Amino acid sequence: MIFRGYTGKFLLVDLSKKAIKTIEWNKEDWLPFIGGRGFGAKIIWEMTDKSTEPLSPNNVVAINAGPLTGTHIPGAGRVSITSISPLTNIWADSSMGGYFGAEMKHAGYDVIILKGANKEPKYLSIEDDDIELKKADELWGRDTYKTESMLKKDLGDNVRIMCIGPAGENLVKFASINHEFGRQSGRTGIGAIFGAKKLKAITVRGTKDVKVADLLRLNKRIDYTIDFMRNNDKDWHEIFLRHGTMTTYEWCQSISALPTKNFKETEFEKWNESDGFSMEKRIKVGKKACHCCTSPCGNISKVQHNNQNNFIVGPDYETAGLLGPNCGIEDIESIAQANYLCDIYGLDTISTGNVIGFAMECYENGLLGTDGLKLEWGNATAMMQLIEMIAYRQGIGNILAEGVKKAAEYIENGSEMFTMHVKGLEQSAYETRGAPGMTLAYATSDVGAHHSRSTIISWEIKNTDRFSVSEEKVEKQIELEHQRSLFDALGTCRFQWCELRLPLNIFAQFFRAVTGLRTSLESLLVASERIFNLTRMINVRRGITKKDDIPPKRVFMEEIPSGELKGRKMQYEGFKAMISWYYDLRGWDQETGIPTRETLEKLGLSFVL
Amino acid sequence: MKIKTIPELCTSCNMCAYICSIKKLGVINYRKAAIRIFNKLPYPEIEILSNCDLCKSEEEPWCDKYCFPGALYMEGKE
Repeated sequence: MIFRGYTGKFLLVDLSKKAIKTIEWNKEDWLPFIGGRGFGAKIIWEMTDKSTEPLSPNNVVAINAGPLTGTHIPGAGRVSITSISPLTNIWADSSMGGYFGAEMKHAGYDVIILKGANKEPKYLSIEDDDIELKKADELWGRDTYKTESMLKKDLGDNVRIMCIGPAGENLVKFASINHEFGRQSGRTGIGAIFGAKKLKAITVRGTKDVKVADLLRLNKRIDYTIDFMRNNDKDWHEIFLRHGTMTTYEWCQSISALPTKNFKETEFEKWNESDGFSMEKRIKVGKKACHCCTSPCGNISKVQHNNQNNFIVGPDYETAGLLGPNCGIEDIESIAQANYLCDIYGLDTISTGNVIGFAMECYENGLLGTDGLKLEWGNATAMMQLIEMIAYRQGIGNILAEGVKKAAEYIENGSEMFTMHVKGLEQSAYETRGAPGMTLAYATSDVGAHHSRSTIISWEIKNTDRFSVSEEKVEKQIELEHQRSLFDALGTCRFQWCELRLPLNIFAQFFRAVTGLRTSLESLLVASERIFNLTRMINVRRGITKKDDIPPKRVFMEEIPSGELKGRKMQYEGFKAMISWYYDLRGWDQETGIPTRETLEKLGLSFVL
Repeated sequence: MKIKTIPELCTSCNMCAYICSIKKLGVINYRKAAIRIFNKLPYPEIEILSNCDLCKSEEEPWCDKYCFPGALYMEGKE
């Protein structure tokens, strides 16, 4: 069978049995799921069940490249890492930039599947067809920067690495996987699964060509893409290059959606001490791009820690919003330092910012004993200490390492009101009491309160009465859920489209040039809908129903206390109407939120029935 | 003429290496390129290999043409 774009192979590694094999996948079964997150969903459906314990050897991690991954399409180096989350106990999916996905393709694999667990710390070494589990005793306990440095020293600078830090080893439920000193698979805690499997790292070096169907056509489309991004809106392109996603910081403040003091408030008085301009002026020293990206979002910033100069790729907006205003932190230097600590310990910055904001609010209300740690809003020193305590599960860090949902169950006394999560996943950096569409987006996202499935907030503010509740918003949200998720299936970055406004159809043209398949954009979007329904069914199998599609309590119960949107909260009736439209439009049962038989059959998902 | 580098401006995107392999050999494989980027913080290392022919049939080397951050330039170019 001739594949173009794809390698046609999965690498299956059973850590318990030390058994390694390659599997040739067949087009008929797998192409309807495109690749990337789609392949990951099908693998997790097939290889886990309703009772798979996330941190048990039975859990499976799939590292999925897409058909476009490894080509020179700007940003096409991504992987979606999929599993069952230790934080939420449902579908886990976290997309990572950098270069790892491209290297997998050069080594000859579309997906790396991990199951079982090592008895002793190991790392997985992949050199084309030469695969080996190697001892990682010397690496265990090391931070992510040190781990990568040691591996590169041993194996050469030209090896690509993903690894966990102490947080993953200590099974912190929102531990990240880190890559190339600055890119992370942060969300849903897959780093802890690596920790439970005693898998410290994966190294990949591939020497094979990435094969495409029509290189000439692909080159032309890439030239067009680069030219479009640079010249379509030169002013926007320039500021995007300078600030990356930190452009969102000022915007969120301007629309009163900046998470402030654990999402209690929506504007931050000292916002201009930690926005993109502050970053540029005070800490930025360079730019960092992912694979073949000609309009990169990444910024290199200097960080002072233990009187030494260190560097991070960041802060990005989500990190800055949540480790900054959400914890009352005013200065960009402290945010960058907290970012650095999360990166070296291997923690998701979004969940960490939530957890610390939650702890600060508990402390403010006298609900949390801290052994003398003054967890006051804006206390950067206490924040740095708490990050370390979480990574090493020391003192209250051991409770907070479970995430806000579990921590509140332990702390009790009404602390649940301070938990900003959906389905156990802490919320991204958009406060939603002034954005009903975004409230719904968090509620229906398959991983929990993450913005990657639909960031409808920008569309609803630009194009509608932002406070309105309408079927039109719900329709748009479903459209976005399919469009945005498509990029994770294709294995390329969505910023070229959603930030730099490249027409979506270009990605269908890329798909055709790379694979040689005559697939339309419409067909790809139907496949994205198929994947979305499959991840829903993984969640349904694990007990998720309509009752779980609900935003954090604060959204309904507390008015915004100050600022432009003072007095505003989300009306429950409005939310109820939107979720009802959502189920209708999706073909999901109104009472249970489960996709109907008809919907599943229509999408070719009869095998889940 | 030869290619000179400014690592401080290099973003480690690797586009130069990919485009080199395509231009030289018609394949997508940065490891077959005549330029190598080693990703490091804060700035990468850039190595030009001895088999670089400066894309002699072209007006300018493709690595330079596709290096938008301006980390490569031609020394001795009039």
